[in-house]
Amino acid sequence: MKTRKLSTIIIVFLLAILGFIYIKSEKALTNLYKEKEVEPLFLPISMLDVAFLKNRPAISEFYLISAIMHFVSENRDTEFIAKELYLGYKADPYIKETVFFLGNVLPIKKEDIEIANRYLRLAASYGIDWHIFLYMGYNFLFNLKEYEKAARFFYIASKLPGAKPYVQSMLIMAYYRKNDIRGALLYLTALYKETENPARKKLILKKIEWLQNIIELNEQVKLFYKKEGRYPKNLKEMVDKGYIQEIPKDPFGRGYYFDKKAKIVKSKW
Amino acid sequence: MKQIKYIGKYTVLEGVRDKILYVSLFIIIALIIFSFYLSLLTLTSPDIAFLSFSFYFLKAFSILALTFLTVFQLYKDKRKRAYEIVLTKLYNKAYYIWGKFIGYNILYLITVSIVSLFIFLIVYILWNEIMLKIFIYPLILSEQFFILSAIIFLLYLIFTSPTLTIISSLAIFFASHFSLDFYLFTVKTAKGLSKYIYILLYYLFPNMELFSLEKNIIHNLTLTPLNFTNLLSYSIAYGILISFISGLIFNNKRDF
Repeated sequence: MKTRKLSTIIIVFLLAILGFIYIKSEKALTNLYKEKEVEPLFLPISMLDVAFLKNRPAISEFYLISAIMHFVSENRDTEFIAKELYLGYKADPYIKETVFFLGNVLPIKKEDIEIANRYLRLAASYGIDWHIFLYMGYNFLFNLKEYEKAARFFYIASKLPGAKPYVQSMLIMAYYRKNDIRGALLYLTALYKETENPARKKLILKKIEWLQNIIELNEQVKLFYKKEGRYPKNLKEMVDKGYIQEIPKDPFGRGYYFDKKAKIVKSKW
Repeated sequence: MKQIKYIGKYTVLEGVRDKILYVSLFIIIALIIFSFYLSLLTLTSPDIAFLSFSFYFLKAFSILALTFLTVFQLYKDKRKRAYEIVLTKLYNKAYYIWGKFIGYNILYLITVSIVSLFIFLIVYILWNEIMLKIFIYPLILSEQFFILSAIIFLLYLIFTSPTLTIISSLAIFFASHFSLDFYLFTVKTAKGLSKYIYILLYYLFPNMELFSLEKNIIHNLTLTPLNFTNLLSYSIAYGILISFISGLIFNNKRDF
């Protein structure tokens, strides 16, 4: 009986010591990991093919979730995240979130946009999808302000199968920002001839009218400058001096105005 | 034929009685619930993420579980006293192998069909989508298990330990997902006799990549009945051929 009691005490004592060592070593290891900068582990598609038994949608989702996790972490490596998203798209081009994340969410700084566009170009070679060109166009239009490149990408996106009609509006927006209103008009006229849907035709006609008004107003502004030696203060002055009979009605209802800085007529749309 | 049917029926009932079916179902369903939580981490389409992960878990776990359970059950049966009595009562010893083969395949089909119904219900309840295509997946999976179980039975007759049987059959199953890559690579690089040896190896091993149709089911891509029949004929031909060889080996083996 006594020996059993003694052995129990010894076992409890030993367990307490082991517990103490475990907690101490765990703390020491945690401190070690805190100091060490953990490199993100990169997994190639071939390795995931083995693990996921060639279930490509699951591989793509895995890359996407991993990229989101890295995106929200403190030490964010944009190159790494972009590469993961690109591989996610390569694994399954039908999962569009990868390119959406790459094109729209990831680019924050100017360097990020360049990285994102580089990987979007690579992704385009794996599955020609209008979304990729749309996102590249977005980045050039709104972030990098390179309207010519934006227009080029929107044009490619609009010509690809399955492209939504708003891509065409984005292209016109890029032309407009580039001050190439005649280019936009030419595109719209060609589009009007191609389109068969009556509702779409009506909308395109509205846009053509909207652009034609801007072109006409700008020509009158040039004439005003030639004759008066200065630019008009506003469009009303042009009506008063007889350059135009009245301010044309904007088919979208927003109206036109004279931009004194750019010295051209613009739309409020 | 009656004897094969009887052994097959007994195998299914034994699987249900030994709680094999319930344990596999419980674990697979738990993994599918986990895949639902994983899908919440994606951006816009959690339904696609859920289907991708749940198909993966369903395939990976059910293949692993049923390989282990089939092999252990076969070795367990071998130790039973009734085993020898059953064998002596059969017209042909090979009927035992064929009956067991059919029984395990039916058990597998029941398991994956129940899980698929569970996945279908989750998709319907959470995202209000009626995705009848989900029910194609258990059929494709059972075709794969038809091939795998034929290999398991063959290896069961070759090796004496269950561990070796499990490891080698799973190794063949995993490797056969890459046999097409291997074939394409070797046809391009190998020359002379080695090229023909590689081609022979390609036809000896099954090509499981043909069954990786998760993409087609999830994204509603074309999956014609012709494709499906081709897959079915491929798996049936390969499975029956291998199990026939297993039957012949079993019939002529003295230690069984």
